[in-house]
Amino acid sequence: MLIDMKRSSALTNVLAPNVTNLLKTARRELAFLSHHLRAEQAAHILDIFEQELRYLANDIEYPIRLFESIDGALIIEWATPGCRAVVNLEEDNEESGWHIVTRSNDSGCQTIGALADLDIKRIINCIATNLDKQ
Amino acid sequence: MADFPKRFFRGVGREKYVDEFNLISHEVFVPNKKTAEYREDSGYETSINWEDNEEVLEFTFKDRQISPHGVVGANTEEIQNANSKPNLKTLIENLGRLVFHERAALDTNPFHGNIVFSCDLPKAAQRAICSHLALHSTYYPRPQPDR
Repeated sequence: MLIDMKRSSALTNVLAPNVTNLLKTARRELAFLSHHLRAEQAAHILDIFEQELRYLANDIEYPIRLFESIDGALIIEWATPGCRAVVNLEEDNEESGWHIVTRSNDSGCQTIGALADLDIKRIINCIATNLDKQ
Repeated sequence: MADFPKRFFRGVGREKYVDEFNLISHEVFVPNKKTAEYREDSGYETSINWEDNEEVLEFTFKDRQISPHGVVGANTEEIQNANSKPNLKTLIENLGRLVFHERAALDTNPFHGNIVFSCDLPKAAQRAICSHLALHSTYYPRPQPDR
C-alpha cells in the first residue's frame, strides 16, 4: 500500500474547514509516528475518512485522534459523548480490527470486525447519529 | 462471592488519554498482558480501586504514579454489561465469561482490585470492552493547583 503523504496533506488544505479540523489532530500525530510499522496503513485509512467525510451533512466538533498504544498498536479513535469508534492497527496485523460502541441500544452501531471488513461509512454514520449521551 | 461497591476508579496514566472535551480514550482500560504469566487463568489485568468509602477518589489522586493525569470512575455493573453487548454474542457463546472483576488488596492499597480480561479475547473485542467502559466513565481532572 503506497500512500503519498505530502499529497494527502495538500488535499486536506482544500477541504471544507470542518473536515480539515476533524482530521487535523490525527494527521499531526501521524507525522510524528511516520516511522511506525502501521503508519502507511493509518495514512490510507485517514484518506478514506477524508473522502467519506465530504458527504457528512452536519458539523461534528469531536476530532478523530491517532496515537500509539501502550502495547505498540497504532490507534485511530473517534470519541463523542454517545459513541466510541476505534480502528486498531496491531503489530501482528492478524489482530488488527475495528469496533463501534454506543451508549444507546442502537444495535446497528454495536460492531466488532476484522480490518478487512472495515466500514468507514458505517463509523461516520454511527458517530453522527450518536453524538450525545442518550 | 465477594461484595463489591457500586463504583470503581482508575488512574489516567497518559495525558493523551483525555481529549479537550474530557472524553476518555479506551486506552485507559487496556489491560496488562504480563499478568498472564502469574495468573492461573492467564487473564490480563487492569488495576482499579474499589470505592469502598468516600475517600477512595482522593486516595487514588494521591498516588501520582497511577494517576498523573487524573482519575476516571465508572459503575461496577458496566463490567458485567460489557459481557452482554450484542456485538460480543458469538464470543460469549464460544468463550463464556469475557471479563470479570475481583478484589486484590495490596499491603499499601486495601481498595485495590482488577478488571480481568480473558486471554482468549481477540484484540478488537478486548478494545471494544475497553471502549464500553470508557464510554460509561466520568473523568475527574487533577485539581488545578496540583497539576
